[in-house]
Amino acid sequence: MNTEQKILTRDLGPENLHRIDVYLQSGGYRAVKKALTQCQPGPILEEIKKSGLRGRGGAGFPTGLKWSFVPQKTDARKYLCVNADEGEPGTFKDRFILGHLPHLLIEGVIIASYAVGIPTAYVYIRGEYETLARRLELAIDEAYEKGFLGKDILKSGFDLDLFLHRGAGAYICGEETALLESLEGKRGYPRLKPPFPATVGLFQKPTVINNIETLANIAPIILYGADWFLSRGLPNEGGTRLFGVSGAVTIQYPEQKKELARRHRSLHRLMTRADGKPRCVACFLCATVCPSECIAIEAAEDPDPEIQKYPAAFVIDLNRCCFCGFCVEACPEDAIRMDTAEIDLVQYSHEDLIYGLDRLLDGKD
Amino acid sequence: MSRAFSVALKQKIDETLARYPEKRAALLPVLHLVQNETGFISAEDERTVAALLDIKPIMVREVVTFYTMFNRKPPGRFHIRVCTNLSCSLAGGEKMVDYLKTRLGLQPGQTTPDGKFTLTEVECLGGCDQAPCLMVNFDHFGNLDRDKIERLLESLK
Repeated sequence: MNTEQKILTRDLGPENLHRIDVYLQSGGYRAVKKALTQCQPGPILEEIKKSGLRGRGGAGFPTGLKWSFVPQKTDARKYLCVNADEGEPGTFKDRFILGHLPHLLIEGVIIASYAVGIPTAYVYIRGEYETLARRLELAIDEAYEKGFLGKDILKSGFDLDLFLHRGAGAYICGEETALLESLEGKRGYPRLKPPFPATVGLFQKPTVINNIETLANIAPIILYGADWFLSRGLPNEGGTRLFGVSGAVTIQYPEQKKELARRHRSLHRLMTRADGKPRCVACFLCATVCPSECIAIEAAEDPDPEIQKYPAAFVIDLNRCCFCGFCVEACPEDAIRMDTAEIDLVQYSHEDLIYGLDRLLDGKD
Repeated sequence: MSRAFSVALKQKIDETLARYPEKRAALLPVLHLVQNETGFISAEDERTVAALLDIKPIMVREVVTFYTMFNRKPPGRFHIRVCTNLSCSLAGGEKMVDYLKTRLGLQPGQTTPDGKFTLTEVECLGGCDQAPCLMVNFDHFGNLDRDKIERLLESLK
């Protein structure tokens, strides 16, 4: 996939990105700084509307529109609820964001709250995600410490409190009104609609409820603009989506290659010494240990007294090789390795799969 | 059986209460705190929590019985929750449950007589990328097979 297209997974790479220091170093919280110091809430709302961002919780309702349903001129305290009650069989995208990019979510929460005028936000996380809840709690504490949450954030006069609220194992609480009931300390029974949560929600006050992935998309939109976001999606639906893939997976081979495990045994290579000669001393250990007897070596005397023998010929018959790796393990000189990541060993004739020194000598160490 | 809440627990409860405009909203977090300390929520605990939150005990009881993660009886020291939802079942999750059933001599929902293991079947744990998966207390384990379960049980001491 073209990396240009990546939105949420763009910054992945550095280890411990869930810690705020690492996140800040890789350019984190720039969107919050931009939103709170350079933008007014109104234009942010317009930008989100223009971006075509739709709710990532499943229903796909336009996010900007949802926010605009919340009354602007009201004395009532407004709330933001983050729906982290992911539990639909086969989905684990929110777990991915919580685990790797909790600060991207917090950025989204801050910007959304700023745009709608919300002073209090709750993250409702499912009870089973105990370890992720702890990670998010740590991230929230870090954000408070650095002044991205709390009173007068970045001297903008905007206050926001963000709290974590753990569920306790009820699938139904992923439904937004059941989630509100649960947050109020009741059984998670859905409410009748209307009235909708945008006007009568948590504690009977206007409430925005968004999915984690939706909020994680907010910061990139603010940073790079609605047009950028919209260009990476469908005409009326901006951005990309995270997909959870489980079990047997079909890939489009050979265009698409499967990532090999670190210790995968692939095509052999013969190592060389600094002077370019093979490290192999033609001891025949590999040929002896090889269960499919596919290695043939012809030893020759080397004029250098330090090196007694060298392989005049070293042939591996890949038609027979079973890639067991015994040759690598047996070699006392670390002269043969199977780490080329070359697995496309396809030829039209058997002869072409018999590799000699010319094709096995690697030159690199 | 009456258990008085410890000072540390009461302090944590007070901190939690401050996060919500209504006391009742703190019910789930408070129940989690109680359960973390005592392992389960007794009828006495329910009454104590109700008094702390200014609500009727029945309001606590209905919440404790509604949510599956609150225990009303003491669970085993290691609570094994095996996912038997779609992705895990397709990858052999039900076989894992059968194996655990015979290995531990338990039906789902039961606890071993020595109080060591409790076995439960649960819905999606959000670990479909490593199906079949299970949780022991709050730790996830994925890509299970019999050997892995055997090693896991061995390590739980």
